[in-house]
Amino acid sequence: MGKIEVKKLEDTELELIIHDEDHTIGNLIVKLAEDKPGVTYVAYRIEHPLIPRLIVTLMTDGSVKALDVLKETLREIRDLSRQFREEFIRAFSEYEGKKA
Amino acid sequence: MLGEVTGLKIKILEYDDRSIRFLVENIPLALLNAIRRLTISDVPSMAIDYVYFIENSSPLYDEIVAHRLGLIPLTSDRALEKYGPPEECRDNEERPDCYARLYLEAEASDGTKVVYSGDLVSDDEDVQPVYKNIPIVVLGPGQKISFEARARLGRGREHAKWSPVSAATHKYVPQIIVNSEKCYGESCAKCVNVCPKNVLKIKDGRLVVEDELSCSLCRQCEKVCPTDAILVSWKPNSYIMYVESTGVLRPERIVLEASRILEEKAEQLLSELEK
Ligand code: SF4
Ligand code: SF4
Repeated sequence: MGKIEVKKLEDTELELIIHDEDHTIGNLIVKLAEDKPGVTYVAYRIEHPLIPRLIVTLMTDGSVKALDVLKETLREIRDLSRQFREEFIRAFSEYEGKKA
Repeated sequence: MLGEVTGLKIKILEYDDRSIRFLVENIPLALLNAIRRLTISDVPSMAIDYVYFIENSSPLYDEIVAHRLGLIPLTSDRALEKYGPPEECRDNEERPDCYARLYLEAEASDGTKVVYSGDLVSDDEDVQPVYKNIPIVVLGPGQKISFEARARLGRGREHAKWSPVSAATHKYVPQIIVNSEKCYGESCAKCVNVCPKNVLKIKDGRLVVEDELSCSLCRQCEKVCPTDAILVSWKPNSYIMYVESTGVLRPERIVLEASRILEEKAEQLLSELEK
């Protein structure tokens, strides 16, 4: 799962290869990162559908470090999915409780 | 584009043994879509991966039978805790906690005989065919089939036979607004007749929206309305998600596993970046 290879790492520009990941993570990172302050460009690509690797590029205007934005995005994904799961468990037991 | 979204809220709308439909409010679409995609491609389940034929004089070649066996859904709710993870079990038959064994022996004496998924005998009561009536092969008079099959946990991204869902969708939450001043009501009723989902009804001569959530946002009603009295729109950042299990896992379990996998993926990528 998800080994990372750094292709380019500068304060304002970052390019990573994430192995064994696909559009699921790629699109999510891009959509959540694109609105963060300081981000000028963020995109992902998959070079070939049979090669399971995802390439993410992120650029900033210099007010924030590209790597920091990416980390913040990943923390957001982690926290949101935990929140989703907790809320789902709550909603589900509420539903089951009503039925009983 | 997404803006800040806070106050995630979920409400279960429909639920049974095979499917779940729920409303999610205040969630970025990209996150819900990632969870949806993970239910298809990453939530593990059991499926037959190796078949050792002892005898096969049926009309189907070994590999065709093996392929048919792979596609039979096997109950996996308890198997998820019992068996080793897909990445470690793939091509690793030596590991004792990886494979469940299923046996089958059948012979047609006179006349033909249909061999069904229900004829499989599993050595693990937690790993059983979900449906007993899936035909595997038809044996002619005197033909025999006998094999040992091995099932392991896998993920849909490796082969669709491991995908625990037959459908995983999300859609916008419809909002239909009727301007009663412009609407002709019973004397028109054009929108009622054109709606493919029977969302609209005439009650006491007036147009009412009866079943808003089942609207497909096709906007046919808007198109036929002579006075622009009806407006179809949707709520921002709210979605209706639907997950239909093939029977291998409980539908709520699939959703929970998918969100847990996403959390783990993010955590793991973060720790990779810290290195
Ligand atoms: S948008 Fe389509 S489904 Fe929805 S109410 Fe109008 S006609 Fe019916
Ligand atoms: S088509 Fe328009 S005017 Fe006719 S019943 Fe529907 S909303 Fe009213």
